[in-house]
Amino acid sequence: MVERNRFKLVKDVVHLFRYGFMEVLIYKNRRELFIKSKTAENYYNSQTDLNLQTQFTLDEITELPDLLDDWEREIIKEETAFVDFVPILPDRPIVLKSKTELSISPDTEAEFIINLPIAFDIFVNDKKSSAISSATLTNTWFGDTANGQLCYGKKSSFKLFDHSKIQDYMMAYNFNCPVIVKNNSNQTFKFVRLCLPTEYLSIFELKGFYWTSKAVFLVDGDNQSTQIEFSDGMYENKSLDVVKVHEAKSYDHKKNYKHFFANLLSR
Amino acid sequence: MKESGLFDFLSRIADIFLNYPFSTQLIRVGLIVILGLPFIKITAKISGNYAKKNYSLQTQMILKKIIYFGGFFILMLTVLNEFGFKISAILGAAGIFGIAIGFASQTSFANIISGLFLISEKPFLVGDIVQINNTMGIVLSIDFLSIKLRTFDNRFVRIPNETVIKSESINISKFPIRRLDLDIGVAYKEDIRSVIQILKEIASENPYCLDEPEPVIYFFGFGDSALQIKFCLWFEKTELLKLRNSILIDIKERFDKENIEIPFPHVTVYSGEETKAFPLTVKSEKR
Repeated sequence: MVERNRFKLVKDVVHLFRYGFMEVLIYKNRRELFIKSKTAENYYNSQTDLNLQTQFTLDEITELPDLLDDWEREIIKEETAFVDFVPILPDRPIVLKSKTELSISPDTEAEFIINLPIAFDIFVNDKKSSAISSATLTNTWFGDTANGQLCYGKKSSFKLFDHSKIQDYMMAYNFNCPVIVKNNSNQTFKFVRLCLPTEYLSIFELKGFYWTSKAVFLVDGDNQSTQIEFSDGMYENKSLDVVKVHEAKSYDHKKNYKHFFANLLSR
Repeated sequence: MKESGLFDFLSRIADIFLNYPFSTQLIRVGLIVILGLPFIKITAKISGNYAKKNYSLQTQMILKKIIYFGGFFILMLTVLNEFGFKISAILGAAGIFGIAIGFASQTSFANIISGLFLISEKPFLVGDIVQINNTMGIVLSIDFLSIKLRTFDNRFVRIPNETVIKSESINISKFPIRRLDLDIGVAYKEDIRSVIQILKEIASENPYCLDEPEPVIYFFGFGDSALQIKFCLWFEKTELLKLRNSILIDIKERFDKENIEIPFPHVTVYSGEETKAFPLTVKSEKR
């Protein structure tokens, strides 16, 4: 566990943790913890603000809260408590939806940079306690109504990844996820939705910003069947500052998803 | 043959009580029962645990029951054998007896046969939500004679298998997602395109409504007092109540905010004689 976002909790103090517009209040008395997370909607005003804060900050409020009714309550074993905020990806595949249908010509590769909302698991003394997310994702269905799967939905502009403008992608509150679609078939490949299985993506931290490993979709053959590959490392970055925060689940090609793409006809 | 079997059976009973050293036999039978019963229970449990890993809940229950009742049957035959009964004669007699019983209990056999069809066809499984005739509930078990349901108001319902086979049964939880269809009426004065757009927004903001498959909204007719709109929303099968409750509240609140009228039937009340209207007196104040 990366200890960058680790804090010690003080007894009878309300701790206010902030990560941009995400706020977590933790109040600890002897062996009881009260946790409340919320999104401060008016915290940021501009895109610049979003880029500023890339780690959790802590303010201590000594005034005890009057009402703890709607706080999560947890009784812990130890009197001393440490809290960690560990970045996590969505726990279900995420379906990225383009406004318009995208076409990739035969024998062409497109590398997109996808923004996925960041979320943190809150660990108290190395045990998962709660979670906070920078965005509420919608529920969506991918596949037919009898055999598909429940996913999270997100609209995406499918921006092409320009490696010369890495700084532009350095945005807090998002995971930067490089996605490559290689059309190896001899037909133009069209899609409007892409299902990204997030459980196979590792998380990396680089200078306070979070990246995921790369997902490569290989569209092959006349029936445009798809294979997927996940890289072990981050995108082509040799920086020594890269820290792997989360190890992805290993991908089993035998239990492959049947479909990753949907076009206008099959949506 | 059957007479000799029955005679043999009765003579053995008489023999046990008259000639055999009853106490030693009782000890042996006691041992068989004491060891046999836990053996059956343990075997059923081990099989159940094995089935839990590899098969559905329904298969687990069937396997456990087959082992349990089969084990008891074998144990019973062993005990009778210990007392000196001829198993073949008993089985022969049981066969004859069974036919007689069978004629007398055709309904039960119909239920057993129907149960076998239900188990093999698998229209629903244990844990599914089903509606059979007017009864809706969660399937607790599918047995040879009947299925057992727990209704949502926590009543226990037993439905004979024959009834299930003969009736239309709806498996509500078969597929992972479902569609909720709502009929919405708005006043004739309303802009129907604007109403459809508002309904789209309501659906997209509701956390229980899936964004794909997209909600289906269509204007389907001119009603007696309202423009009729069909509003169909997809949801995860467990979220029906949450979606239904929240979406109706959302529609009412949003329509109120947008001043969209939801018409309702008006009733004119007459008093007194059949053709005479309700007597009204108009009073005006003089200033």
